[in-house]
Amino acid sequence: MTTTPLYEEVPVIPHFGSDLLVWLWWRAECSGNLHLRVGEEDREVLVWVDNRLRLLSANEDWKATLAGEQAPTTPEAYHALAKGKRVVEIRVCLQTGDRQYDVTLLADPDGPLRAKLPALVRGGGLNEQALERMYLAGELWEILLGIVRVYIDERLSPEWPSYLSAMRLWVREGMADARVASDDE
Amino acid sequence: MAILKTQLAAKRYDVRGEVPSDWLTRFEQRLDACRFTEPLSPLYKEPRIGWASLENWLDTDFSDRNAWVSEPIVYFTLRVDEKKLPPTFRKHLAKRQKAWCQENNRESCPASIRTELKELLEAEMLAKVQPRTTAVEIAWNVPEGWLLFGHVSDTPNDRFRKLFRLTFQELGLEAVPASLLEGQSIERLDQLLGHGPIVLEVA
Repeated sequence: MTTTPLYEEVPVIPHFGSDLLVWLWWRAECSGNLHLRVGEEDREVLVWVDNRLRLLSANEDWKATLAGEQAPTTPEAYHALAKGKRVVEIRVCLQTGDRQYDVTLLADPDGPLRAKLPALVRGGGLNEQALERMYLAGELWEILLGIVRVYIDERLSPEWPSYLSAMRLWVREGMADARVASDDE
Repeated sequence: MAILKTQLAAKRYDVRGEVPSDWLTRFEQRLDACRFTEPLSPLYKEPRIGWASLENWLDTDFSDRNAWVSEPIVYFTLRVDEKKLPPTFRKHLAKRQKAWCQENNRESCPASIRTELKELLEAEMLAKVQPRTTAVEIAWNVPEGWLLFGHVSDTPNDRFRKLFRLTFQELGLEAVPASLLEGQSIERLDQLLGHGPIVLEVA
């Protein structure tokens, strides 16, 4: 039998945030589509990494911010991962139906929620605006919870070693592609 | 306005505890009890903190529900008025201490005089300084039990949590980390904890 933990019982998982972010980056680059349960329904959510990444070394003596359209596919990005750097911030776009959320995700679990929400209602009073913003913030939260659920499912599944191999291959191929691209130049 | 704009920057909290069936009436009373009030004297150093209307932070009347309820959402602001002594305060104080020494033919001011001069100057300056007002939005989905607080820094969040506890005594607030793991069983979380970090290092 499973039980949902109370707040005090939730263990601190130090690498949870950065592991989630690197997994999401890999998933976004490799397939882009995540099949999620959002609220009461199953949905396809298109995920792609936007123009900003921040990485940090384990002992925090090295950090890099990669910005620009190609940020997730630059040689620096793959080299940083290959050298064991942790992802501490990533900007992603999450699209469901005709709604797109641009979200900055942080590895720090105490981090705030920073996102650009779609604007559905033009004009309208304060009541309409508040309802719309809260509806969209709620939907975004459900999507994030869905992403976390899929990540944990994969992380705890017997197939995890094959996912991990695929992630390592992704880094190696990314470095090789970047090398070819720089040779061509 | 960090919540009502399309650019959202907020801390999310889960509200724990049972909301009474007559919550609207109760909330109105509670918000009113902890509403922002103007100080009786302009000579205050500690920040003045209280609830105000979201549309107009000068309005602290919660009897008009149209101004803060759009069921199932309630929204209001945390208003903080803070007076800061100007950066020239120390310079002025040193000048007064020097003047006192000259008047009294003394090398230095005794501690009691220093305190007296400091308090006097503080009072003079606080009377002239205008407070800096900040108003941070709160939007609360009452039946679903979560809310957004429109500021990401620690101090405003600490103040918010403190006043929330004081206002809605039987309700608790939980910040994001546990909430994001909402629905996960203890067994799964323990399993996750047992796994080390993802290592992608290439030799």
